[in-house]
Amino acid sequence: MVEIATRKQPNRYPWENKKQSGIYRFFDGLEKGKLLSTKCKRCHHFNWPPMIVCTKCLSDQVLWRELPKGGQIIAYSLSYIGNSQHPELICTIELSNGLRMLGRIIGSKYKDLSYGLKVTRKNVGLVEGRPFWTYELVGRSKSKEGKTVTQSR
Amino acid sequence: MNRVALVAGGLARFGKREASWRDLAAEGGKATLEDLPELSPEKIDGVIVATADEEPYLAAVASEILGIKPKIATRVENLCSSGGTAITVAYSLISSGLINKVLVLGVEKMCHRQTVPLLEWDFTRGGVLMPAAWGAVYAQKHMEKFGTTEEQLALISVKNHRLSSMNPFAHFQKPITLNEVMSSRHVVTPLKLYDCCSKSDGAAGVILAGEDEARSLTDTPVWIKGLGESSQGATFGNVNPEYVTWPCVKIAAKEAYQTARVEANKIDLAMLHDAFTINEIIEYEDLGFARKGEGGRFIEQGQSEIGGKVAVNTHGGLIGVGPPIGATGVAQAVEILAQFRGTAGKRQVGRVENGLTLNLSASVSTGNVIIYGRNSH
Repeated sequence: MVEIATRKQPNRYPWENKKQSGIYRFFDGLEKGKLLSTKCKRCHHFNWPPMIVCTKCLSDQVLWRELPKGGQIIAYSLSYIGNSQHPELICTIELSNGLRMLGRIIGSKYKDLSYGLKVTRKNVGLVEGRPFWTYELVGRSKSKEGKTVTQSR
Repeated sequence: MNRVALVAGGLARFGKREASWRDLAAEGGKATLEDLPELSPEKIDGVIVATADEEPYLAAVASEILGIKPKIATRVENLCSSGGTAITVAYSLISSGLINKVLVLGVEKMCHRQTVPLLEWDFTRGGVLMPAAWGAVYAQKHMEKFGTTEEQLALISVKNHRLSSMNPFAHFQKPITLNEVMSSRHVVTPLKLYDCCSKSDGAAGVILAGEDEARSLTDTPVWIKGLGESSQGATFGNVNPEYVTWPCVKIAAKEAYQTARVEANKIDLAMLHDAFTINEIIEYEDLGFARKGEGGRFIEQGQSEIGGKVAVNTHGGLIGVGPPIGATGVAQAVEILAQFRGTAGKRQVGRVENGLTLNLSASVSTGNVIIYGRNSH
């Protein structure tokens, strides 16, 4: 029987590769449990998502800085996609510096949540090579440090 | 500047199709060309393909399949607003005088594909890549701020399914009841299954022509009176800071109304981008059909039904007809053409004077608005 060769999908986004992308530090940070982005050395604008050229002044002198851990819940939902029996809590978070992101909430039930509740980032990492993070309500955590979630690329 | 009109339109049925990209391009292209037998394919001097497909060189591929040897064959990719942007690019090429008969062909194979890889660039989603996640955020904020209800969202789905059931090219051929929408399973709260568009394969084509060609080719040209487009970014975290109002829609609409010299209250037909039911409600408001916060009441009062203030998504919208990425915006133009010609069958709105299309991308970061009219001036 003739085997038909199947094309392997190339990794079109080698952002995590130091040789190929200035954004690799973002992925490096995720592997170490830190959520980093870039702050412009010249105009001090905090770029989010990370940019190797500042979106405000076009300077290529940028500093890698950790995003604030704390923020508040702007919106929250139960997502039944991929798991109709055990829905996930997903949310929109506004960080203390005003930047926004989607994410997951762990350690709480849907009924415990409301708009404006304070949260802190808990786990940061890569899942199947993709950025991933979770938040939990402030006061729910017993450990001070966030854990790095399962890593695979 | 040369004026530009729609002179032909055609579709390949939307749905889960056992057909390749090439098959769909051939089927949709053939239907479009056969809609205007007066124009032989060799006279077409431009082909613009709208698609988010991974394969390269698809405009040349599609031209060859259809026996066209255009001066310019190129492709436009702008995710779900590829179609609207492609028509805008075709308009520019014709109005500049560079070419004057352009086939815009939107083609997408979507059902075999996961949604996720299309959104890899958006780091701000933190692994929450399903589009329904942003739809849910906008819905929640609109409900919180204006008291919009889940029933009002559901009414959008009921209307669009009813209209798609009268459209033989639509993915969804059956009307559904309010109760069926309300009791459908949750996807991302508060959005339920029938609040969301599905995945569909399909193709849609239109031919655009300059003023002299349009008048000689057809008695029923539909003129592009105004256009506007705005790209506010690419990532969820950077767009729509107020959630309940969308800058790319407002900017694109303002520009389109100004260039067309038409006010929102003169639009009698609109094809809107209802990726989720909440979209159509916010779009009524940001396009000026309803006051801010009153989009829910607008559907409740039947103002967006045929016979209402403005007939919206008479082809069934993305929810009813299906959302094959590059074909979506082109299919909107095909319906505009059918309605102006009076050939929309059971979906026909009386006599249309001004029609509008709104085509969006990725968490409402890019918006494209085109206004069509019966008269060129």
